[in-house]
Formats: sequence, structure tokens, C-alpha cells
Amino acid sequence: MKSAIVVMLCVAFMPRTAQAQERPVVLTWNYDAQQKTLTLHLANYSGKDITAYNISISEKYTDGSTNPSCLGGIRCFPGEKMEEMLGAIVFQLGKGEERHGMAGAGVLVNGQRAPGTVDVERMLREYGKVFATGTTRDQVILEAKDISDVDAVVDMVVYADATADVQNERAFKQLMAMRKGQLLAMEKVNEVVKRVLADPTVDSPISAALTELTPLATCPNGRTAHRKTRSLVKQSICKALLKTSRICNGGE
Amino acid sequence: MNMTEREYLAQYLEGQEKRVALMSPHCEIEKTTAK
Repeated sequence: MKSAIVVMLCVAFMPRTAQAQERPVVLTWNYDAQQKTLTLHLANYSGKDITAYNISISEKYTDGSTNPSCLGGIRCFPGEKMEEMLGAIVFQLGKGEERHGMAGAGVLVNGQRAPGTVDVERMLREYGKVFATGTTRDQVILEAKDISDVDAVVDMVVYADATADVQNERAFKQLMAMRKGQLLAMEKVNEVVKRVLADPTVDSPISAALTELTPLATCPNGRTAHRKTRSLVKQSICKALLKTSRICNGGE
Repeated sequence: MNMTEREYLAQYLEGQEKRVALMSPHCEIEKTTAK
């Protein structure tokens, strides 16, 4: 009996660093029956800033049914919720980074633009979008029925230093496809714009770039091995085209 | 300030290149755990 109490006390007062070795992100939850809200509490014990993570979740209801389903009305793989913070940060650049003390891929230090390479980790941290080390965050989910139990775990964590803890290979592959799709799209847009700008005979470089990029954004190619990546590239080019169109309007 | 269409596009390209520089290292992730 005594030894059992000692073991329980040891578990109860286990230091957080021990938890961090098991799981970089610890997830606990509570259900508010009056508000019908399930709150997932996440704590980053990894020692590193996080740019993306995946939660696998299964909910059990008081009526005996279960729900491995999409959360918040967003279409997704059943029972999973992925949070990707990097893409939003990258696409926000140039849309008010000066207000946030950031300037493109450079960093403002004491009001001066620091030269040299991209300080990605600092940029992500100062933008306030990453899941910073040592911090917690809550995700609130509205429920239609009363919850009796939740089985949820963070099974993929990607860090700002470009490393990852991966227990869910499928989620990791999906995230990489998304990121690489965005990158390929940006590189394609850059390639076209550079070529257009390099040609002094082009009267309207924006129209010329749009003419070349538009078919890439509208031509579906659904039967190749890289269907998903192509689809993501297409979406990203569409976003780029919208931005370019705004540039067109601003120039008029 | 009036900018020519070519200048606008050059400015856009500059921003895009910065985004690519920011994004690239995060597309080659080193997995540290696979339990």
C-alpha cells in the first residue's frame, strides 16, 4: 500500500521535463456541459517553437455514440485536426510587416533593417504566430451532443528549426505536400515574372505574366501521380495572380 | 508616388523571393522521432 502511494505521488509530481521527453506537446481537455464546448488545452514542453502540429481525436458521447469526425465544420481527414502556422505567416509578409516591426525577410533591430540572411525563427516568434516553447494554447470545439470521454493526442509536431517529431506519418506527408506545393507555386510565379521583366520589348509586363500564369492556375491535371501537389500549386498560383491583379489596379 | 507597371512587378518579385527564402528551409524537415 505504501509503495503504491509513493508511486502515485511520484507520478503526480513528475517534473514537466519528463513529460517533454514522452510528448513534446501535452494535451488535456475539459468539457463544459452548459456551453456544450470541448476545450483542448495544449502545452508546448518541447523546448522549441512550433510551426505546425496535428491532433488525432476521438470523442465519445453520453448517448454511447462516437465521433471520429472533422472539427469546426472544416473538411479534413476524419478524427484529425492539423494546425499549420507557417503558410499564413509567409503569405502575410509584404502586407503590413512594417507595422509588426518586420521587413520582408529581413529583421528590424532597434528600428534598423538588419542585413544578411533570414532569421526565420526570430521572425516567426516576433510575428506571434508560432506556438512558442513554454506556452499553452486552447482550442475550443462546439459540440452538438454531450461528451463523456475524449481520446486525443498530438501526434505530429514540426518546429521552427525545421525538425519534427512524427508519430503520424500520413499527417506529416500531407503537411509536406502543402508546403512544397506553396513553394513550387511561388517559384513558378517568380520564374515567369523574372523572364517577363528581363524582356525590354514587353510593353505590359503584368499582362504578359498573367497570360503565361493563368493557364497554370486553370488547367486541371487530375490523373497524375502528383495530383495533390499539382492541385496545391494551382491554388497557390491563383492566390499569386490575385495579388498581381491588385498590383495592376494599384498602378492604374 | 507613381510607379510604372514594370516597377510594381519588380517590387512584387522582390517580396516573392523573400517569401521563397523564408519558406524553403521549412519544406525540408528532419524527422527526429518515429515511434
